[in-house]
Amino acid sequence: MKNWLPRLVAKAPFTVHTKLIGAFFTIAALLIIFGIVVIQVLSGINRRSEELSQLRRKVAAFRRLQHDTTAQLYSVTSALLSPEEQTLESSLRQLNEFRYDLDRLQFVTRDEVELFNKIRKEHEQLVQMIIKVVELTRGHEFTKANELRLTKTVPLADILERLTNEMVNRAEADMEAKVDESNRAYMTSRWVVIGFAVGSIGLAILLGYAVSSSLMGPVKLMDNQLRQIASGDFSKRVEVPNRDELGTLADNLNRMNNKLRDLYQQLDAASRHKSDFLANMSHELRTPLNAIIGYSEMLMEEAEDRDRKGSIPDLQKIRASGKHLLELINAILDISKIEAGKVELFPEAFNVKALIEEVSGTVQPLIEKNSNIIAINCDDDLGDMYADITKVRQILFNLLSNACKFTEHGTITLDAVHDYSERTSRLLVSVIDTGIGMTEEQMGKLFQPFSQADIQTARKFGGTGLGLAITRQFCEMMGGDIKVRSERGRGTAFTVRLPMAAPPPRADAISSATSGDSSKSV
Amino acid sequence: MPRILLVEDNEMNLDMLSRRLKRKGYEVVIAGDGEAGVAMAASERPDLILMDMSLPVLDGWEATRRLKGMPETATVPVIALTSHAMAGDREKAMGAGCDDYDTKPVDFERLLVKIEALLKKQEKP
Amino acid sequence: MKNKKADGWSRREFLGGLALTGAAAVVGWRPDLVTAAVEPPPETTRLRFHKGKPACWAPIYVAEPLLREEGFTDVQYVFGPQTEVGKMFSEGKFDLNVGFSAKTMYNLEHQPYPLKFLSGLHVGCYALIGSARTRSVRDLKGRTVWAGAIENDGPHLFFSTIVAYVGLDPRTDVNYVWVDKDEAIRLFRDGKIDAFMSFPPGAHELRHNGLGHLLIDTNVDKPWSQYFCCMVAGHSDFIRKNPIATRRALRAILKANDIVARDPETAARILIERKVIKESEYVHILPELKHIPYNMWRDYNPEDTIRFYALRMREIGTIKSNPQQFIDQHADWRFMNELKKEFGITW
Repeated sequence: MKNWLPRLVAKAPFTVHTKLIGAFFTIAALLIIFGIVVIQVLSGINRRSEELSQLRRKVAAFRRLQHDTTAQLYSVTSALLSPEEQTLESSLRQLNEFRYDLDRLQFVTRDEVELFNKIRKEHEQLVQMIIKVVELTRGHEFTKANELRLTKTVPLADILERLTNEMVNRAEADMEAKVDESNRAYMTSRWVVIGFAVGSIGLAILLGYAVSSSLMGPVKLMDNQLRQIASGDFSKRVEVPNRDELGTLADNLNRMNNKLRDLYQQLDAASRHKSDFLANMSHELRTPLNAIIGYSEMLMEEAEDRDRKGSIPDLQKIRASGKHLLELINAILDISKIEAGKVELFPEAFNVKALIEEVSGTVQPLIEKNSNIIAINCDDDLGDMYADITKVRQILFNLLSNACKFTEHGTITLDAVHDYSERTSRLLVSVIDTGIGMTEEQMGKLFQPFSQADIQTARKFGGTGLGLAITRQFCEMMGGDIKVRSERGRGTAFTVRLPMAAPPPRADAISSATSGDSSKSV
Repeated sequence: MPRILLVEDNEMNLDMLSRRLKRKGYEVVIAGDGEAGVAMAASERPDLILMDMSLPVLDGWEATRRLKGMPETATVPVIALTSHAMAGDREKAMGAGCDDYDTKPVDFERLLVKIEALLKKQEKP
Repeated sequence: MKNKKADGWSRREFLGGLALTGAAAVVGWRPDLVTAAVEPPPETTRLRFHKGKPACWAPIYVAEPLLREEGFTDVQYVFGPQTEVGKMFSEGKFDLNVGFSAKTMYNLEHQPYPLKFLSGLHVGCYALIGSARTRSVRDLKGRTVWAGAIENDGPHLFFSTIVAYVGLDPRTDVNYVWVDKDEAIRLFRDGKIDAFMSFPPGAHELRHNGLGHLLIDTNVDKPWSQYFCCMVAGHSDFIRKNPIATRRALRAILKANDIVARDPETAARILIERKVIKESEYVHILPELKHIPYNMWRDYNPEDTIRFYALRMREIGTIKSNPQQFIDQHADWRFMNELKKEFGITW
């Protein structure tokens, strides 16, 4: 549910450019609509305030009429009190004011025709009565005039006042209704504006989220894919829903992946062929070597028996050269097997301490050869280890023989510790010598195949230069690692860390499983 | 004098090993392939068999398996000789029923130690 | 012309009636033959009024024989205290009632119930009486007054609109004592309060005893005299279900209105018979009934009364609705307009 919108945006068959412009236009449109809504609201408020001021004008007109009515009555009364032509004249003249008021009233009371007509009628009567009162006064019939004033004009004025009051009330009631309407409209408008604002923000955010997700999602996927490719895994493809530039990019990425995979496979095959070739060659070379070593040993035995000891040193040289050659060939065979992925692990349980003792026994001649002494410190709780004993043995042997080779009149120390410090329990073995040591530069290429620290060293100390490379390979195959610390002239310390229990085979060791029965080619 | 059956297809190795063993005072019988080895073991009744693993006709593992399967030869100790101690040859050899193994090219002194040990073990019970 | 209408009607329609307005003779009233001939009988013969204490409601009691003539055989006057009127009305205990328009609107605002105003009844009847220290309504600022025993009841509402009309805030500018009428009269006599919002027979009683002077007489003083005080109203359901009955009942009440105007003595007697007032109150009630303009129902527009009081009460914040809302929801002038036509009044 959460991802349907970004997916929809991604699937839209438009370019990223179009999509971005579309999103910005939508947001701009939302702003414009929002503006229109606000303007509508404001104009509504404006309209209502205009209507209110119209109603106020109405009320003012009614009041005016009321005032004039009262003034007229007063004028008539005073005309009766002092019946001079001048006051009578002004009484009549005030009637004109009435007409003007009525005209004004007619203008403002378009809605209340009925009431207005009534007022007009009553006014007409009042005017007639006033004229009559004035005429009677002129004719000096004061009693009649006064009676007419009391019985007719005063009640008429009352009615008029009531009617105009009614109009005032109506106008005021309309105003109040308008105020209420205005308030309600304000509340409604407020919610409309708030709702619209919230809606727009929500929509804009949603849109932004959808667009950016539709862009960033594929970018992340492709980034992951590039990581996979960088780590040498070509098995995956990147699938993005996009039908825009990113979609094209993903397609190209997949094409590149396939191309690289093909290249890698070709290279791998070539490498394998090389390793196979080396393995076969080594085997073929060993057979005559067997004979050389074997027969030279036999000849030495015979020379011993027949007391022809003069030829023994020469025979020893043949045998030593043969052995060195064999060592080299074995190492080449090992490394090529490892590179060809033909090495498998055969884990079994064994006692670590016993193995260390066995190996140290094996290297005893080497130690004595350069007048070294060995110190072995084993943790009491080393216990059993579940691993490929052959490989562990070879690792230990390589490290110890290496140390012997580069140390004279020194001490070789082997420390073995059971390390519980991390999640898995591990065996920590350090082999420390007090030999010639190495420079930083030499350490840099230490674990490279066929690279002894330098040519001089190789001449002087012999060896294949493959021992440490093999050691490291074995360590890593078993899920461990190897580290070295060294100081020129002071000595070297190798530290191997191996899991006490064999882990599942590592990814780069798995490829050997597909390369057929390894032993047949040996 | 203990009798040793040497099963080996490489003539030079066969020659060299048999001469050296004889010099040490063993009686040596030889066979050139696995099948011949099994037949010789049955007929010659050796005290110990040195079995090369990569043999023609019948390879060393299969030959050992057969020897260990026959009651008359099951108790005879077999030392496997493998080309190289790599990639589980040892495990395979022990799995086939070999009592010990050694690598080629043979370190003769070491091999003698192993032979003596197995023969001594054989006498005891 | 206009104020002659009452005369005209009573002459044409009421000649017989007038002759028969002796207390016992009301029953023998001759119905108007013309209207009765074309008008069907009422949908219901039962009619229930709210029976209240105010003496100004005399027409509903005077109307009883006229209602019988209109075909109502079961006329009931159901008593209910002022505070319960809304509730009882909601429960359908009354079909018709009369009441002070402002008070009714106040009730409708705060506890709506299904009521519709049908017509005006009478003008005035309230009077504001001031002490010797009080010359005008504005003098009441900071003074203590009595405006009924209960807050927001009729007298208080009327008083509030009167003081608000001259710019005082009825909530803050005056102090009130909420005591019963006898206590209020004692306080007024002792000079503890400066104004007394009276209703019949209060004003006459006080002045008869030489207490205070009239600040406002709503019977005659404008603008109060230009609007109805009490109005006739009906239950919405009753009106909807019984339009003919409603018209017939209203006709009887309006006729009774004229009778009260013409013959207040009889009306006062009927009030005593009905036990609305005590015999001893007759002397004060009668002048009040004479004074109250009962014959204005033809001339005044009841809708404007609603507007006027709604505006005033809204001004002082007592109600929130605007006048038009009351008119839309709580007014039905159809019956009154029909009756005016029937009586030949061109309003």
